[in-house]
Amino acid sequence: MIPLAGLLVGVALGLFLHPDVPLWLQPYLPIAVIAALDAVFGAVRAVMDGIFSDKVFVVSFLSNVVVAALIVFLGDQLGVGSQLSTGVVVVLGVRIFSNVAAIRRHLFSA
Amino acid sequence: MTERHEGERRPDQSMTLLTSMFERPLDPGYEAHAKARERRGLPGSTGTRTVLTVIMAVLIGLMFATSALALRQPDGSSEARERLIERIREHEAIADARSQEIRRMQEEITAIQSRNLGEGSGRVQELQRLKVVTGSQAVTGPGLVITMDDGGPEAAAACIPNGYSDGCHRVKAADLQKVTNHLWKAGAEAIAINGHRLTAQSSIRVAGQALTVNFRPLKRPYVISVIGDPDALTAEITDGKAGALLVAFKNLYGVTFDISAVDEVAVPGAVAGSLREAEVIRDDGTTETTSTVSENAP
Repeated sequence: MIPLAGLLVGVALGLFLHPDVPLWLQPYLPIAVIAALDAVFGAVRAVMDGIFSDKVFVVSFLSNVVVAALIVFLGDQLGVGSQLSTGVVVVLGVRIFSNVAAIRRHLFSA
Repeated sequence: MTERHEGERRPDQSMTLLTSMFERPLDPGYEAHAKARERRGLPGSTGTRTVLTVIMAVLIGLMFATSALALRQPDGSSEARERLIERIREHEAIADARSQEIRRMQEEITAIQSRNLGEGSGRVQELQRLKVVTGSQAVTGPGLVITMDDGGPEAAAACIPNGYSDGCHRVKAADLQKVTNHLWKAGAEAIAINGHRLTAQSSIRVAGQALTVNFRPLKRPYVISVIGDPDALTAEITDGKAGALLVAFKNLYGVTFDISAVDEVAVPGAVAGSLREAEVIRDDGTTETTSTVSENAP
């Protein structure tokens, strides 16, 4: 519950402060957000499974975001930007769905 | 899943990427860390109330909000248009500030001129008269204010059915030219449109859909300030050619106009005059012509 409150505080801060994203960072934002979502849902599932570890959460979140951004950057340099990011988005989406399904099973035993 | 012997390959070995994606969506680090902690005798989970977790949660919330704000901005033509409008406004502000500066300098020059030409000599009066006529001097006096504006949506919709081209309800540059020409003929002494003084070198043109006077774009409605004999001007505007034109515009195209005679209307001076020649008068009265300085007309 406390991390949830922290999340809401962070969202409120972001809406209030309205930080400006530098222009060179903007292409990496969408994929970074999806990678962050994947890490968050993974963490929620780990909590439900009883094996949550904050260090692993931090590491998985940071590595997800950095690797996703790197893949987008590499794809842009190679000229296959949209195809690579599509692949990344598909994989992350599948992982999000699987984690959410596991969470659902925990919550509703269904 | 069927049991496997050590070393025997799964039949779907080549699909490990997809299978691992589907079967192990959770970072294996969690399991490994949990097992290590259990071996050390600690509970498997560190719990969610650690400082690190809360800090991460705040940062993630911040990231979501920031990216939502950054990515949700409407992109494409509307944002480009907004930015263009902003730049236009900025440059217009700069142009207005510079016009103010030029007017201030012109006043300074006038003061210096009257000092040096000597009060009461015919030259100062002659200079004033010429300035009013050419339009570099601001003037106030009785006259008319004519406001013209485009017709409304009904007028716009009636253009094509009536056989006119699309957009007939809009005031055209030619309309302003004709009306002001007739006003000059009727004895106007000074005319300004939306605060831009008409001089002998003024242009009334159209750029895209905006009318421009002296190459400055005008915003609707178009206010024509005229200084002159109010009776002569009113006669021209009601019975004369200018009046007939305005009425015709209204009846045929739906262009609206409004006329009011005022006791005092202020018409500003033209901002940029072009200096063509300058002569230096030496102390002994002889003159020395400097090179001609010519700039663009206003």
